[in-house]
Amino acid sequence: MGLTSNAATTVLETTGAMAVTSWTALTALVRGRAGRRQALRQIAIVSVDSLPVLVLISLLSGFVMVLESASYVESLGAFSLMGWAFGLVTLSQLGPVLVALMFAARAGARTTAELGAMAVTGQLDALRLLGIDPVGYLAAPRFLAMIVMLPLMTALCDAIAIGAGAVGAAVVVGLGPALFLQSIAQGGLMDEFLLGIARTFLFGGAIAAVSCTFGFRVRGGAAGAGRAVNDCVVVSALAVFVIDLIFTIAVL
Amino acid sequence: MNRRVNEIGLLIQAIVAMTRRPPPLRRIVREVFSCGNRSIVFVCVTMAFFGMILVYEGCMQALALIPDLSSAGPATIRSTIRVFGPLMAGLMVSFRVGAGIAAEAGTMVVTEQDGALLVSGSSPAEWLVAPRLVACIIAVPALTVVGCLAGILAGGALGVGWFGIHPSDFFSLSMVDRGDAAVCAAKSLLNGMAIPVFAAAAGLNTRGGSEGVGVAATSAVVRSCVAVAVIEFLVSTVARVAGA
Amino acid sequence: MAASDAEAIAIDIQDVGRSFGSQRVLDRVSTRFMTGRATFVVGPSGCGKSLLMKMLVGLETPDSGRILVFGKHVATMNAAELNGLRRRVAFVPQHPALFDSLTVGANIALPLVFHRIQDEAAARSTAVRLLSLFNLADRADLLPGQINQSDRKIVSILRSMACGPECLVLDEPTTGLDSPSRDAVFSMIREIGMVDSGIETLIVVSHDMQSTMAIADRIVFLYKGVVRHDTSPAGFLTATATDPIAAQFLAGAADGPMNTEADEA
Repeated sequence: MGLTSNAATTVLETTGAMAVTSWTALTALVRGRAGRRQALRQIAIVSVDSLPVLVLISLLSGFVMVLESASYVESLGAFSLMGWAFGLVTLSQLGPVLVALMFAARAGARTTAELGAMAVTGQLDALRLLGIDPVGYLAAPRFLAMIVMLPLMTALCDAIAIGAGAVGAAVVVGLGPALFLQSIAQGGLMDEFLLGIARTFLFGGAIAAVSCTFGFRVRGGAAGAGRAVNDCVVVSALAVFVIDLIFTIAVL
Repeated sequence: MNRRVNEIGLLIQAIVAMTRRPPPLRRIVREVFSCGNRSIVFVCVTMAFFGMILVYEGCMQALALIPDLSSAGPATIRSTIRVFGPLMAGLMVSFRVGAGIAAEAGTMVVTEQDGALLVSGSSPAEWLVAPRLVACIIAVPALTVVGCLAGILAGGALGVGWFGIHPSDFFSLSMVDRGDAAVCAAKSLLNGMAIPVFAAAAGLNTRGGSEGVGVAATSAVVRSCVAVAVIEFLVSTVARVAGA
Repeated sequence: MAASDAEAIAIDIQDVGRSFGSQRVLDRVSTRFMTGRATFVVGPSGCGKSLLMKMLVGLETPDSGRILVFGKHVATMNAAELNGLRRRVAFVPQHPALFDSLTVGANIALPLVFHRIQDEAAARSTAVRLLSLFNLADRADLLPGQINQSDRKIVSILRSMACGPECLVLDEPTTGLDSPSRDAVFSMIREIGMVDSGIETLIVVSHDMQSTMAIADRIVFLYKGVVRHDTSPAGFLTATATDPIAAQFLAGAADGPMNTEADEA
């Protein structure tokens, strides 16, 4: 009982802190208080940091999807549907979720580590004494970078996964890439693609909220920063799945 | 230790150390408990959500084509066992324990305890990796099974409750065969081997004091996730070639 | 400090008290900081100096009494007023961290750019001007990790001066520095009043009596939460003849009537 109420308090407190961080950062963004140079710098960092691992994961998951659907497609003889089914799963769910998870592990963890290091070295206090709100100054550009870049990178990764799928289909079941791509293009998957991208705006915001909040709250030296990074990826993953389910039910 | 630790080398070292001097049972039990206990709720919750997402999306898409949801359950069960279960459970265990393993290894490097271990005739591979390797080889497959169950049950609850699929239609193993179970077992066993090794290697390669530990912790998560994805790919390829 | 012709009360501390549990850290402290003066607040560790300074900018609040800064009651200010106050009264804490991802120049320019007082180019030239007042202009493009301890400390003080405060409050500016760095920082503090820095009122918390006697216009000696002496350096020297505690503090002797307990720093 005591444990449950403790856990509930922690969840409520953390959610509240994330809400406050998001609200402050987003109002700072709307008012144009986030420096343009800061935001551009964060966009560059976030993309350069995450892109290699995202590309790799997209390639691998594209191949795996083809490998795993191959026997099913062959037994049904449904070669013309292979591209469509592949595109459906990739564009609507697997692409956005996998990209968001790896983005959280890379860009989110980095943000928490970075802000945590600033917290334990007193740089956040230094900002406050200069009358600069750390949330507006540090979190707002990171929110912008993540909310803008996650959808763009998801779109890119969708394309890479589809490319990998086309190559994989040719190798694994001997289906011509043109047929595979045609099946995707004529499958009427534009809605799935757009809905898949739409949810990544929410994922990006959630990852930014989680990573910034956990970074700002770091106490107790390097050990505290390590714990915060761990908490950041775990809570980000939970947030991605919860948001995805709610979004899916809300729009379909 | 200025030499870069390489994952395969570390794995071999750990296995060699293990055959020479098996890690104490009590330590293994403790590590299984710490890995499993830390991860089980997290794995189950995320897999449950993922299962529900799969079923909801699958049913809505199927309904748009044919008003027949009888294969939704078996297809969900098969894809969960073969692909999504091992993949998501592997990623989630990496998220949950990867950073911790790397932080511990990194702290040992920064405080130069690894040198002390070598002097005393032990090694980071024996002390740090071997017990976790055994523990994760036990815990990760177990977590994968539990996670698959959580995903299938949650998805089934949604399929039965929301879409009115008959439970006996949904919870049917008609599409699952021995090959699927073998694929799941192979993927999760290999994940169990890879996660502690990749995380520990990232930690043992820590450079630059306590700040480096943070860097190592974040790179451990990403590296072990990539390892999980590569294993997913390799096992699926082997299964395809072997016809499983 | 350059003698100002119109000397006024910058900060008026009236009967300020503060307790932590049963411990009375500040007990009815009253004193005034005048414009155009360098006032040093001295006393043994744990006498409440730092606490009193934090109250000046609203980082702590007194239990009793009140603090008027430029005639306004600090404890009743809202967040916006406090921000305005901190623009006029710059507080530099014991361990002010520089932003390690920004150059020295950008560190100093940051508050100007963020508060939109100047654009980036103008803020940058302000930063270089401030640095050159203390012969540090060549450090502007270095990162904080590339300059030495005393320069880092000076840069953190300059950063607090960027927005042109009238009053500068330095809390133990030489804590944790080695002896040559301490000398460098104190000589910088001495110069603040001589160069065209815009600072009219300087308040320094210190327990380094040698530099205090050399730089201060006025000394406030806090002991066990009360103001024991509030006088000029010459007056303080005279007081030591009759006050063994002040004498021991001035001499920096370990043994004497004053029993310093656990070190605050």
